[in-house]
Amino acid sequence: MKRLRAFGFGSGTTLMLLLLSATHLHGAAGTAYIPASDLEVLERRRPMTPAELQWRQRFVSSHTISPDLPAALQMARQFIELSRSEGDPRYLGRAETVLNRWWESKEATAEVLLLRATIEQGRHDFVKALDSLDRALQIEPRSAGAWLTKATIHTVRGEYAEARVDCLNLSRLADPLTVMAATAAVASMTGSAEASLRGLELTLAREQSRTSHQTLVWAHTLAAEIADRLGRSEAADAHFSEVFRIAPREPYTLAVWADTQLADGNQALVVRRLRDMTQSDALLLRYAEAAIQPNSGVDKQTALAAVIELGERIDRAHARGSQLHLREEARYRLHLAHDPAAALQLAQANWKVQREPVDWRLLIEASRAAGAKDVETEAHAWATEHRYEDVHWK
Amino acid sequence: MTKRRNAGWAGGWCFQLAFVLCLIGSPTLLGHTSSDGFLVLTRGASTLHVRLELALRDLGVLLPIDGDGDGTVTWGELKSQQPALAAYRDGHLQFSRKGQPLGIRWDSMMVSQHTDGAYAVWTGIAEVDRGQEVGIDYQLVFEADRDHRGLVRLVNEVSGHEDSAIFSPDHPHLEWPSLEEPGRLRKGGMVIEGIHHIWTGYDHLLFLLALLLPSVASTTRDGKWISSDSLPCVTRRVIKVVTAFTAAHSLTLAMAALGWVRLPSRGVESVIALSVVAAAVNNLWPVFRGHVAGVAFVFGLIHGFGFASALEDLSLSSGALLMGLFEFNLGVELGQLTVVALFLPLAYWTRRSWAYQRVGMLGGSAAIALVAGGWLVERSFDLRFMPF
Repeated sequence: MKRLRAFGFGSGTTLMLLLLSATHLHGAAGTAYIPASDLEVLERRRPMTPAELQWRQRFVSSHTISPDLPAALQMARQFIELSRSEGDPRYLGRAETVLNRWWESKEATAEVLLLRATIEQGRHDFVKALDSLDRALQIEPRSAGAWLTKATIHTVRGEYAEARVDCLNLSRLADPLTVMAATAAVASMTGSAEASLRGLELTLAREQSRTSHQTLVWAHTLAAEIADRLGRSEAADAHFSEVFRIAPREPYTLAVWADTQLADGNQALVVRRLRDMTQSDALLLRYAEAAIQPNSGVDKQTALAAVIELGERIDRAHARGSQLHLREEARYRLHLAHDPAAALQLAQANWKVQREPVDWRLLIEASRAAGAKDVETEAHAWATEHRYEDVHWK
Repeated sequence: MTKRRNAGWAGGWCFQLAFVLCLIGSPTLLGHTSSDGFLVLTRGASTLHVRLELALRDLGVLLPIDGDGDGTVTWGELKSQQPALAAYRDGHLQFSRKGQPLGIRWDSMMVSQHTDGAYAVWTGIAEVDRGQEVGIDYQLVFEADRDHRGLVRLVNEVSGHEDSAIFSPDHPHLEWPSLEEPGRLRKGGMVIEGIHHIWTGYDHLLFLLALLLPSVASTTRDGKWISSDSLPCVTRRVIKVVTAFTAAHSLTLAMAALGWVRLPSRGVESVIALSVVAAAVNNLWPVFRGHVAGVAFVFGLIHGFGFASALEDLSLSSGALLMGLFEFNLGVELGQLTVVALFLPLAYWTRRSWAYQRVGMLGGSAAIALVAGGWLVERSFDLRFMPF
């Protein structure tokens, strides 16, 4: 109830809220019933993918089929890809389970270890992921995938010197745009945003036709983020449009894009685009943040239902002891539950784990809301030390 | 060398890189609704209720619950897999008691809707004594998803206390200890319970007091109380009364606690009230004369049954009963001795005074008789009017 009262609506709204939450929590608690008809549809999903069918076959045929390594690697890759496209962390667990036999064993190949690191990274277990990558590189020092993943993790953690070394190692193993993007990701955080953007755009223009879709999506998204921090909204928009032309439902890009639109007051636009993408928590968060604003065009009840659902997902993550949610929960507390003190605590805990622009902005915003001048000063000191550039937050 | 390097990024690693790229930045995009199973265990005095909920999305990779494979699961499709689902459940969720398997009588399957989809629901029951330890072994879904977690809620209906725990592939086992509060048993807490009971059980206290009031005096032939002189004589008399009372109530407390004798509690409570009245009236008009110790013994028998019902309220298991009985009784005696130790010097010192003889002995006894008379009426007719 505390959560609901925090919104500060009138008593009429509060009553509606209570009714709404009562029905909602009722649903969450899972009241058991026996369906009236055999034809009642309990769940509607897309048909199973080959990886899932193959996986199920294993259990249905009394657990005798155990995939060999190539088959296991292929299944694990498919599951990891599904975890991203479906926004469903179950698939990471399945990928881990497929690889479990080789996971700890001495015969773990570089490929197994790289996939393992990918899964660990997906769970924000950065220390373990770096360890797996080092093991992979001992077996296969020329693994571009391992160097790239290392560079990414080091950049996310704000370990820029290490990230630069990873990029140097990567430079002789990967295609020019990948190397450029990995390098720009580090350089744009450490005082060379302008040069990074220019370098990215030049390489993009030259390599566009020769590069895979995934690399293009990554490079354009990165360019859009840098352009946004430099205050070049037109350039940012152009890069976003490029991504959406190739991959209209790319979750990561949608999240970054939604943040720029929310800052510009384009709530209705965000709502329209994210409405049916809310299975991802990051996108549900942005959707809810947009929807509760009066200019979103969303009725209050729908908006609050989204807020409540996000709260429930966070509660459930707590129940299973998950640490995945620090960033989202901090924003939830800050923007939706109006609890700046809790938001600040979460933002600080999150800052210890990851230091991307969105995390820095969150720390500044939460410290301002909570009136924690010392935290804000520290965050600015960090920005000065690394020559981090961000025109929106000074 | 150069050639090999070029082949390196243009060939084999290319797929891998694209793959790695697709995951960059993805962590935060995952939903929080990971694979969770929900288990609620509720334990009462003699039963264990189990409620298990598993997501159809998780069961779907283990069993062909979507018969026609079109991506929708109907109730008919799920129902047709009921035997296989039940077999899977029983093979992967096991309960034990004292190392022996504990069978659950499961009801037929139901469904529930959560925000992240439909769940299959089973409820079941087993007989479990509250004093027994229950082992739970949860292996559901782990074989398909090592990131699956069993979120279990343990509800103790006896104390109203609730706990929670998480099952994981590394921690699939849980022992739910006996429902008796271990602190109470381990640290001799039952002694405290005994002391507490005698100090707050006013009827026992008043009975004892009524018996002790005349101990510093003795009756003359014409039925009057006269103060007695020697301290050893008084002490001896007190010891005789207290010992008789203790021996009697220990005997019946043990008999009742071990289940050998059972008396209706209202009858017991009424007779206890009557015993207080009798002891107090005896102080006003001596009837029992030199037989106070005998009276203490006879009525002590009935007080023992009263203690037994208090012990029963503390719900000890048969295993912990003997020790608990001993400790509880010890507590009762200690509590009693404290009362005696406080009373005796005071009474002995003031025994000749007008205050003791008139106010203490007569007034006190009359007051005790009145209060106990009130209890007697209240308890015999099942009324409620006394303030304590």
